[in-house]
Amino acid sequence: MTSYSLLRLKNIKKQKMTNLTTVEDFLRDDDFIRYTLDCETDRCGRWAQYLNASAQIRAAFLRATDILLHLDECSALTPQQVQCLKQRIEYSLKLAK
Amino acid sequence: MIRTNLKDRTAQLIAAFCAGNDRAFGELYDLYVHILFNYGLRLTNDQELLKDCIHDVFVRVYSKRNDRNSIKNLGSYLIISLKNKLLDEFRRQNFTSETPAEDFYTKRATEDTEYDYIEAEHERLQQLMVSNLMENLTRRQRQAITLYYIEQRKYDEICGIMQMNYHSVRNLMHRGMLKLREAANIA
Repeated sequence: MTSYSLLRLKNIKKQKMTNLTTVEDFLRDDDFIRYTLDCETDRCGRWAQYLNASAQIRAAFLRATDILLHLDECSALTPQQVQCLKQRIEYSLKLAK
Repeated sequence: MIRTNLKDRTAQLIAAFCAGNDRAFGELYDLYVHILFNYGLRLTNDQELLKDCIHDVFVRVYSKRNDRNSIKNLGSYLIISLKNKLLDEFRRQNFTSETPAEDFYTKRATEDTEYDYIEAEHERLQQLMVSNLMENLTRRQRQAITLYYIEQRKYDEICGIMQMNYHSVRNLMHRGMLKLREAANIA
């Protein structure tokens, strides 16, 4: 078995061990975030299994996907808060220079 | 929806930002601040903490301008960085506030005189050790650490009390903690 095959096998075992069941679990998972936002097709296999999971897990998976893809559709920040935070960042960067 | 046009615009702005255009960095902030804030609200209700973490994430992104590969997928990079930052803060808060010393001691039985004596002695020694360690700090470092860890104030409040900006307070805290760690290792 080549080292590449061993690595693949290790990754598959690792993937099977991952147990995401709630919306929060998915939203905190780095691979899920990358898969959803970066459309990384090489990760599709792993995530396709969630579509065949129990109704509850499937719903959590779909809900988390929906949340990540629609994060820019509303805002809880006022324009003043946005500006204030921006100025804070700019000030910190100015100090760091 | 985080659509293709957002990705295209992001790619253009990253290119400009990495080429030294600071205005592009400002535009990236405008594009992603709401996304990050909305994501953060899924993990915490503490909006001030969330803003602090978003601040740190953008400051970190700025430092990555010479490492274009690491910010190639900026959307996921920002969100994962924010999540990690928030989880670090949760861990830190749990560590400092889950079992406050006052609560711990008041819950103990008061009938056991010997136990009380040992506990009181232990507390006295700990207080002595903390005050000795704090002697290694400058007055400002001591004030910042007292406000943050003992009085559990938020950074915004500390900035107001100490009349300092956020970045300076964070630096002060950082240097103070380094000194404390160093002193604790020597002691």
